[in-house]
Amino acid sequence: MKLIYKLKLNGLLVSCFLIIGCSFILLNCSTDETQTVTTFTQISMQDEFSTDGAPDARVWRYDIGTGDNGWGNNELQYYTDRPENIKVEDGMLHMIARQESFMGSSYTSARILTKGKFEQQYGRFEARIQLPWGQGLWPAFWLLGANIDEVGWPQCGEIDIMENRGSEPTIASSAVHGPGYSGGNPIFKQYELQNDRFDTGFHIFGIEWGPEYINFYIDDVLYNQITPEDVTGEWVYDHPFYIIMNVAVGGNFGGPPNQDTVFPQTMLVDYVRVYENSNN
Amino acid sequence: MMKNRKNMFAKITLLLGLVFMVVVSCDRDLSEDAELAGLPTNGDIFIDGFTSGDLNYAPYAGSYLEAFTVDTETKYEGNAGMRFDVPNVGDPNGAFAGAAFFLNSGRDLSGYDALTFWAKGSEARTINSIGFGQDFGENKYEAELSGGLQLTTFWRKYTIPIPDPSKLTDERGMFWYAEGAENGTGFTFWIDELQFENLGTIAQPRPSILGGIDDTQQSFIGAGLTIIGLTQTFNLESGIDRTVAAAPAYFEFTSSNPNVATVNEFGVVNIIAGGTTVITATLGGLDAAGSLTLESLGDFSQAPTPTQDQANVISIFSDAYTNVPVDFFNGFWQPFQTTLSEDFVVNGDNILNYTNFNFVGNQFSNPTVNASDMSFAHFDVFIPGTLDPGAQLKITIRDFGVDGADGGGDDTNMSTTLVSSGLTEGGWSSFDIPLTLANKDNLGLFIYENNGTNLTNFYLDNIYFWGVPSSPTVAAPTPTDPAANVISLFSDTYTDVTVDTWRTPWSAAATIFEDVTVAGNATKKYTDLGFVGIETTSTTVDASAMTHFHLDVWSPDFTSFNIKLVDFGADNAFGGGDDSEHEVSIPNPNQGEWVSLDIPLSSFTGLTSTSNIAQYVLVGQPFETTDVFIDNMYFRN
Repeated sequence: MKLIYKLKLNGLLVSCFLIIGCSFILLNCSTDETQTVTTFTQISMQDEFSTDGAPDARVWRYDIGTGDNGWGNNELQYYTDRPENIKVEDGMLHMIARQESFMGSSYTSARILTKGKFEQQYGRFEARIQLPWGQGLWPAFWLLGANIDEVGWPQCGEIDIMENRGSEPTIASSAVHGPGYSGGNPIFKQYELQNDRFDTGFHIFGIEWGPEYINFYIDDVLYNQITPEDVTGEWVYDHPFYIIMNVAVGGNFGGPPNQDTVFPQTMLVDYVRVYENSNN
Repeated sequence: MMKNRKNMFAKITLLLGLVFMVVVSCDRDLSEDAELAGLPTNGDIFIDGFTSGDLNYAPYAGSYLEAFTVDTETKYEGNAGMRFDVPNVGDPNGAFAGAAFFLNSGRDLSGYDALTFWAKGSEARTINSIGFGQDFGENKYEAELSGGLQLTTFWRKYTIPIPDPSKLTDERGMFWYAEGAENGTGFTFWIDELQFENLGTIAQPRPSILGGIDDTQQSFIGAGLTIIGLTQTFNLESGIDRTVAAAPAYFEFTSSNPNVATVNEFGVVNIIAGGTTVITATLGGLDAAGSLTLESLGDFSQAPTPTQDQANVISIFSDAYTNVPVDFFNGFWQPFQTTLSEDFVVNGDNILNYTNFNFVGNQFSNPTVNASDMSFAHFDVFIPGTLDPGAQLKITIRDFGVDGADGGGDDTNMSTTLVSSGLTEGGWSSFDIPLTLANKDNLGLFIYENNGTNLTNFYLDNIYFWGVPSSPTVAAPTPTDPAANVISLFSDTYTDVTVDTWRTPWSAAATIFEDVTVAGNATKKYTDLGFVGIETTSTTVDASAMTHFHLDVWSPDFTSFNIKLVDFGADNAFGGGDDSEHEVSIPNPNQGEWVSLDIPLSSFTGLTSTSNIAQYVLVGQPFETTDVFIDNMYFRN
């Protein structure tokens, strides 16, 4: 199931990326391709969301409904696979949170995951996203250990590449949850944009993950590294993980919406790309 | 840009450094170097003092002129801050603090997205009004923070977003504020680092008009109507929404059917034909929430023009009279009143319009109205749309009693109910309700109640008390004809000829004559005038050189008035076959005011001679019940 979309890169180009890539940037003023790559240069999965309609079923599956206790977080939304809540259009994945009565919930939204379709140990995972905004919105781009069904959570490990409270439009955060440091007590770090916001343009959220380290970056800024010395429990990040993207409404992280919250709210995803070590 | 750079790894520092340079080089931040040869783009107003020599401090009329000072003790940063002292209630130096700070020449502020400053108060109060864009000119791009500015007693940074920065290419209004005492006491607040900034975090613009409501109104050709409730809302870096009231010039208004109504740059709607149009607006290319669906009913039929003399009227609401002070035309009485006001002006005529009507009041108690001399309350009522047969409009008139206030145990009321048969569908009906209150010297309130069915919308105009006094309170006008051109029978202005009698025995039996004075002026009064004879028989009047007969006449209630002149002919005696006479009638003379009659003698067509005029007969209707006062009776040429 791995390596569904494998991009054959010119070896020379890859090896020269550090130098040529930056020259390219200087000429074009583009921030899209500014990621610093260390050893994860080989595309192992990418979805550019270039075909209108439902998300690519070869990569993504849906979580539907309200889970247990609002997906464990007292979230208020009912996740659906309807085009009202999730669709690919104009080169973007649209994940749309709505205020509507649906199956006993007051909000609907969407959550997709690559469980059983794309799972990888180590690598560079990144997505280019424009976030929704407003009190009570809780968008996330994150990974869960693929062995969750055997060992359970948090033993399986969780890597939150991006989470955001809609009430904090300039702040995004990352976290890891494992045994002894989960739920309300993860290893957690915030990053604050200066003179910019996450809901007015696209930003790249990513990790570089290898043995005994996970580096978190936003755009061109690597702002957090977590190693076994940082976690207050067992290091559980040496097995394959799968990707989850969702827009929650309410929940323990940022609280419920209020009267000022504007609906519908859309998280736009330009792409999701995963790299692995070219030496693998 | 890279707040958390300290977390970078050594092995990638060089690379990220390169990228950082790249990003910086791509920035489009405002810089002095990039300034074009246009207006200055400096955003600073007060940092450690005013940054521009041509900034004017203009305190508002009536405000404490010294409210603003530069404070070198209390400041957020640097050497100095701005200090504002809000006076106590009753401070002889001024009732409030308020001023505009504006430049003589404009700046280009289009590269900024907000006015920002640090502020704190001696107490945690709210500054009522604060914003920018007042330039002591047209204030074209004025903006005001909605809801005021809530101060704390410690320094905090505040942000007033610019509704649309692209408009501020030549702005002179840098900052303005107004604040009064609360609970009688003033306080002090400080502002520092006052400047326009490009924060980059002012986002999610949501303009709206009419408070974001999709409203529907009926109106008429020529009605004045202005789109109000203009705001722009942003989400700030804090995640909190901030709304500013924005001047109309920030918006582009559109009428969906300009043949029905147009809307100008000030949001003023001009209705030019019957039909329906929808008024909408955009700000910075974004559709504003809210709209006005305007149903023009075409030409407006105005209420009948009142005919009562102003001297006999106490007017509450009329364009025909000077109105007394009114507390309100809609008290919005909570919790049960549903009635809304959609008052309008058509071709200069103000109309009260009550919609969603259940009950509503007009109060006029500062001061109360003394209607002791008034006999009627007048109302003109228009029923738009369909008149339901069960419609009943109850009008209560309340006297507030000696305490001059609603309640207090001394109020008295009278009520009249107008029913559908007296109302007019799509038209005006006029009502003169007799004032039957025993005490009507402290009138203070009208209450209108929907006592029947389906009367949800009506217009009111010409609401006034009126009454005609039983005798004149002012003297008749002083004649201006030169004495040489006059033969006077009765006037203080001229020398009078001999009049044998002002009431002949053959006058109507009920008619009583007496000499009275009106405001010190001698006047003849005929009580219960039927007809009365006046004679100059001993010396008849030769009016052959005269052209007009003049008479000033006053009555509270006459409905017609006749004058007969009798000439005795060449024999200068009654009878003899040469007498001639003629009677002129004046129908519907104005009541309650002096009416100056100046009748050409040629109108007395049967009067073949005017050389020997001996008798004058005055006739009043209603016969033998009307009182008539006369003055200045003379012939002139």
